[in-house]
Amino acid sequence: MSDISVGRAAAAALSALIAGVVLTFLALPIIALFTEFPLRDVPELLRDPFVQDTLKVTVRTNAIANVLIIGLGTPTAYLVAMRRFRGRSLVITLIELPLVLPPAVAGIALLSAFGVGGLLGPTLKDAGIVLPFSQWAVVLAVTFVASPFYLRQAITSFESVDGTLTAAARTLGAGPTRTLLRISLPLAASGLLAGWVLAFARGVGEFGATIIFAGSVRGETQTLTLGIYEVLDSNFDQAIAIGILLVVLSATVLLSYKLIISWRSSTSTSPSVFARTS
Amino acid sequence: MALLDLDIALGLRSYELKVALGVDRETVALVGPSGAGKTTVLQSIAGLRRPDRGRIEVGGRAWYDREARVNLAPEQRSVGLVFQEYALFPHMSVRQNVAFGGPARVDELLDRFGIGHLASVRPTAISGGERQRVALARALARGPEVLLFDEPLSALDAHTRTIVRAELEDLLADLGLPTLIVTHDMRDATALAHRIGVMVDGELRQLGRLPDLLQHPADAFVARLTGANVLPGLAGENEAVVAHPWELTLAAERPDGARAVPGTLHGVVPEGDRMRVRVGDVVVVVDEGEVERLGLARGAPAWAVLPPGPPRVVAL
Repeated sequence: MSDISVGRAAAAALSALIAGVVLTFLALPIIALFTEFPLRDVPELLRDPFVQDTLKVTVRTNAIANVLIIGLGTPTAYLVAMRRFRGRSLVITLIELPLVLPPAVAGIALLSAFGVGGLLGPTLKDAGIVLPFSQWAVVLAVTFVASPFYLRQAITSFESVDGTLTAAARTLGAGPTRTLLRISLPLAASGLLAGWVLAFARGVGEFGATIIFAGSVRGETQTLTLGIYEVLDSNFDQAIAIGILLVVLSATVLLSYKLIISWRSSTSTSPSVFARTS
Repeated sequence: MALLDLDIALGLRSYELKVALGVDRETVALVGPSGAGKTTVLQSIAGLRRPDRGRIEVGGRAWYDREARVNLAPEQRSVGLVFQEYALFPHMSVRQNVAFGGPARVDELLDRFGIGHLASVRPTAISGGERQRVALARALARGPEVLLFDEPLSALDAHTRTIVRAELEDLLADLGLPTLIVTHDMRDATALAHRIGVMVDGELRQLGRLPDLLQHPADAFVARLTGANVLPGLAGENEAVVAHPWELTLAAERPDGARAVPGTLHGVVPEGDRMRVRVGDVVVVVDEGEVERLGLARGAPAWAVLPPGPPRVVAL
């Protein structure tokens, strides 16, 4: 063997070794979660009233948060995508900021805005609304940290809808609303769905902002992730059981995201599809 | 007043678009290089773009009138706009596409354009010529008062183009609607339009029937667009003589008493039953065998001879 091919073989072996270490490092904790603990006990542990309570809080708060994210986020994203206005890039940066904000900072920020002593605290108090440490605080925290995932993707999806298609719809007698419902939304739908999957995953996994802004009150603000933290010392098995539940959920979400993405690229509406073929 | 009557001005990047035009039950083509503002005219009529000033009236009703502060939304304008790449909705079937414009006459239109068998197919799965027909059917489904075409044939290959051009010719004659076609191709314009407007840099240089454009071109640009030779140096300063290839004759020697341009003979190619040759940059169409009869050959010095009589002169 020549020196060069020896060198090549060594480089290949080294890079394979590095890749192996990286993959093992990423996979090991997940594997451990499933092996460190008898899996058949999981259903029993998940039936525990404590877990049931955290599950209910998680489902309830995330359902509301996701309705808010989609219901208010979609028109907002459409507006930002369609209009060119002064300060547009500033608006987009603002939308993206929660993505890079440490969750704990998000919690503190929410507390300073909506807390009793916060910016809107007195106003809310006068109206009889106390947000912190309530279920609505969880909803707000989840919405705050998760909505950028949806908004960003939704803006991009609406932007990528071919403008001549919406123009064509208008010249065919469709007003702005019908154009949105029949053309823009269906063409952006898969992108919106992909954005929502990401927002959903982020929302369910939310911990830092929630524990600071909403606290960990059982049956009220204690979500699955907060539940793990709660029983970590007292009942490690139960923490693992919740962990397994969340891993299964996350994996399902990731898988559906990948499916949506591949389905999107196969039904892409790029102009190249309309290239001359005859 | 014409059925479609417009007089608009609109500032574009490097010039101001200014067009005044009336279209009755006829087809008018706007021809010019890309970037001349042709598409902007269509967009203004359809309401997709707002002119800075002026007015657009259809059937005596104002669609846009700056003075009277009228500016109808696109959906309020009874217009059939066929987009350059057709802009068919990719997530809808052919039938749904046509029905989007108006559900009442879908079957009739699918039949008329021979696309009934494609009704349930997505537009991504059909040929360019078929897409053209779907786009037309969809535009007509609304029962428009005005038809607008943006480069209707440019997305088609040469073979399909010839077929679709003929179809379009018949259709437009049948419909009898005020029709405005935008194209950069003079052949499409002459085949489809009764009148041709030549646009350059946002300006309508000349509007008239093809014979007018051929016989009395307004300027050198219009002349060149119709395929004429523009020959400077034969007339006064800043003037040029315009001669069509079929008006010129070929000679081996400098003819006495006639205006002529010398040059090297090349580019001998058949055109119909005649031959197209070039003398320098001047295009001349001669009878077949003429080149040999004159004892000329490719690469030989020759003369392009202008017809007798007063020359056609344009300003440069």
